[in-house]
Amino acid sequence: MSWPPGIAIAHSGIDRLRLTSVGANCLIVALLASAPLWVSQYFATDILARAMLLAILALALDLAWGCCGILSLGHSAFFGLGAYAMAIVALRWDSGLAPYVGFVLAILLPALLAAVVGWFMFFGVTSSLYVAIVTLSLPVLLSAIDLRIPKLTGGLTGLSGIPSFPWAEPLYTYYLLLGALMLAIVIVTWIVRSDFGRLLMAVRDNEERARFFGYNTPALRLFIFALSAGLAGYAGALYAPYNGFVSHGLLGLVLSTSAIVWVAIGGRGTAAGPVAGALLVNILEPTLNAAFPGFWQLFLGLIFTVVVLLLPSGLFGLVGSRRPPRRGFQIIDAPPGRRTRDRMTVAARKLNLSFGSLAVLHELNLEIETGKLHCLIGPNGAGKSTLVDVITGRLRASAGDIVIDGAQAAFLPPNVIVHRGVMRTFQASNVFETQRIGDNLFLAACRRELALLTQSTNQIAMPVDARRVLQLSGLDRKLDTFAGELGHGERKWLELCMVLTAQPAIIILDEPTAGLSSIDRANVGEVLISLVREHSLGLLLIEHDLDFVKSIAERLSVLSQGTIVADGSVQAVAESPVVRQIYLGHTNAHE
Amino acid sequence: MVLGILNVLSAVSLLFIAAVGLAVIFGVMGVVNLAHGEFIMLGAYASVIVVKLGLPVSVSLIVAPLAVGMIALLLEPIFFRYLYGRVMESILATWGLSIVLRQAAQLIFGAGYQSVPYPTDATITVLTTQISFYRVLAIFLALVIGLGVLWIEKRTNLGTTARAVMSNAGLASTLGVNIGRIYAGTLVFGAALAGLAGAFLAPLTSAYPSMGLSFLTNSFFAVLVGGLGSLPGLAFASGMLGSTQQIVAIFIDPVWGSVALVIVALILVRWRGTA
Repeated sequence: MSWPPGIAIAHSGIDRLRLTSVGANCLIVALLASAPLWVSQYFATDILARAMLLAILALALDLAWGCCGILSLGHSAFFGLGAYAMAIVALRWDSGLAPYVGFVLAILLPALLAAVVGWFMFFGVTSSLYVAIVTLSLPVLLSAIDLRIPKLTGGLTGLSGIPSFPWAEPLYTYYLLLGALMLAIVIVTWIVRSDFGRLLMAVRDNEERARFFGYNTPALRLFIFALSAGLAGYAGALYAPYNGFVSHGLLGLVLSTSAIVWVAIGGRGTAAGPVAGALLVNILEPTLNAAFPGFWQLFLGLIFTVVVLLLPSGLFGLVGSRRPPRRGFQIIDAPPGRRTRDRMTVAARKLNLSFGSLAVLHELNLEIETGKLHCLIGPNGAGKSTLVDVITGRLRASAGDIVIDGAQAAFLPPNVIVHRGVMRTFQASNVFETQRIGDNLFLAACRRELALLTQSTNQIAMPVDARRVLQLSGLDRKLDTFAGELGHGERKWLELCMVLTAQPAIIILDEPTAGLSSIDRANVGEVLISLVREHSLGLLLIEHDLDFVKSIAERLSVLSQGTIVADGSVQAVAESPVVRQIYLGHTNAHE
Repeated sequence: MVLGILNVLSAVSLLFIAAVGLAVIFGVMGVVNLAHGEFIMLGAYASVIVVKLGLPVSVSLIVAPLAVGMIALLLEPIFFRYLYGRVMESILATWGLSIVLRQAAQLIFGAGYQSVPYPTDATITVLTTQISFYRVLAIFLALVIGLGVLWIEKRTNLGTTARAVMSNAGLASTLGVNIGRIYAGTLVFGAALAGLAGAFLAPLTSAYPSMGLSFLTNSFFAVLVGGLGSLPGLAFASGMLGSTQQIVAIFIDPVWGSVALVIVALILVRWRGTA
């Protein structure tokens, strides 16, 4: 099923030759469906059936890790919890409803646990390391609790005698489990291929940028983590009646470690890689474990380490296409009236921010309004970018107020501030590098996260001003290019187009012309002026180049040592002694 | 009461001893060493070997750090070198290393528990209560290690160089600092601290292949709560987490003690953030 490496080049025209994830999964399912015809019944119902169940666990882990960047080192906790929930309900409750109630609980309990833990993990100031450690602690704790309450869980011996499926024929069970695996594949494939999948990939690769387009990324990750845990619980729920016996080990770290190994070896971020990895390892394991007792796990650990270091996209990365497909993007008019408000202001009042003993902002007052091109200049280290960070919710002020359109906005998270109509660009251009330009624009155009689950479109709704800038920059002819392949200037243009596409009322541009050629710079200037005049946007420009500022701005503020030292019309401020002092190092008095 | 306080203090000290090597490696190199627990495990097995050779068990407090440091030195050019500054890859790759080391230990030493005798069974009497001298020793060792590392960090040229590399490796290298050597040295030093921790913990827990895992999560929580790369922060975090765990363990039971530790860590990080 693999192509010779020479053919499998991941470039435009040859993409078609590569195996897609869906194609690979169809192949796998076809092989599994026909397996009972050409393997022994023992092999099918014992080894293959078990491998299929564990492949569901691998898919669940991949949904969190591969698709959303949540590296969970403890997914066995969810699998085991599901298995135990199913087993306990089936054993303790003598009712025809027990298997159904147990099944539902087996999905809900892990999802709930994941939601609680996820709330702590994703809504604070945390890192991927923190997520790894917290998830690592889950199996450790659940196994300890499992041993502590043996009356319910059977302790070290586990629970046996769990009622099996209501039929005697093992092949029925085999095909039921195959159906269960197919359902999991469909769910994950659906999510990955819908527009929601594009958003997940954006969150995985650049959470900050997604958040500053108004996406509630912590909630998104929480949702995916809970969904993934539910899927793991679903695998566990099937495991209990299939195996007839649940034991301590289902909750433990050995299983969750193995799941990571399967996903990494198979290739994360696709639906096919984890399934293939889990099946491959679990089919080989019984044979090789018997042949080389003890060494098989060691060998697996070594392979895993090598794959992580040398082959991050796993085995599927060798044969399959991992890059998002071309879509033939089509730009359409954005429905009118989406611009949040016609007239509004953003005001910073008496802002203070200190890092330890270092006061970065001090009693700072500034007002930004729509319909004005407002520039902010100041020497390096004056606190310009910090001010933008505070206004847009990236940093919290130590004291003072942010008021957006009359309403208190200090302490709001970045995505809420975006919904209030204020957006920003970043000093170092910040786009979704792993996605095509069209996807970048699509993600900027769209803000209702869950609606994306049911759609897969190639249309991008852009307002007139954004389309004009897109044409001017020439990016409209490159919609299928990956943003990571763009040069510095083009990225700046793309980020501007994206922000305009999202239709905010006020945009804060952090050095939009830094590093651009003088021609580009003049173009940017013209565009900005027309945005303000014709579309009555409010712009705050952070700049260094005083001449450029003079040629475009109406209003000018000067930031020095964390506070606004001059504010007014461009002519008045640009000629003022304070600007001379800051930019030329001396004042009139010394001349 | 005295016994309780001393137990809490020694639990805090043991957590600190286990976590300090981790904090050093992460702080200087940005490598998340999930194989840290396995380094501790190797240190414990070093004690087992020392005892089997008929040497006094206290010798292992010197042998174990040397042995584990050597192992880290051997792994540096073929493994750790590729992970410097790459947090995500280092999480995965060292997790792979920890699997390999656990399996290797199981193959070599067997899966069972191997007990290690206490170097001393002396007790001291505080206000009519008899207390194991070894537990008091844990407190001293934690203080010695903590102050020692702090002294190296703040008062020696080596520490200054290491801090320079921590804050800006690129700049340090343009100034002629051999970053590779600083990284290798830090790795060996951190691993040696793990080996020392293993040797010290071995009489308390016995040596077994998966023993590292039980220290790993707690040590990492201490490092995360304490703020990365801050030794006083680590001491504070060890204090908070270790005492919570021990107090709950005394009043309810050890399992809920471990659960309480994680919950306190979650709450602290949620509202304070990791540094």
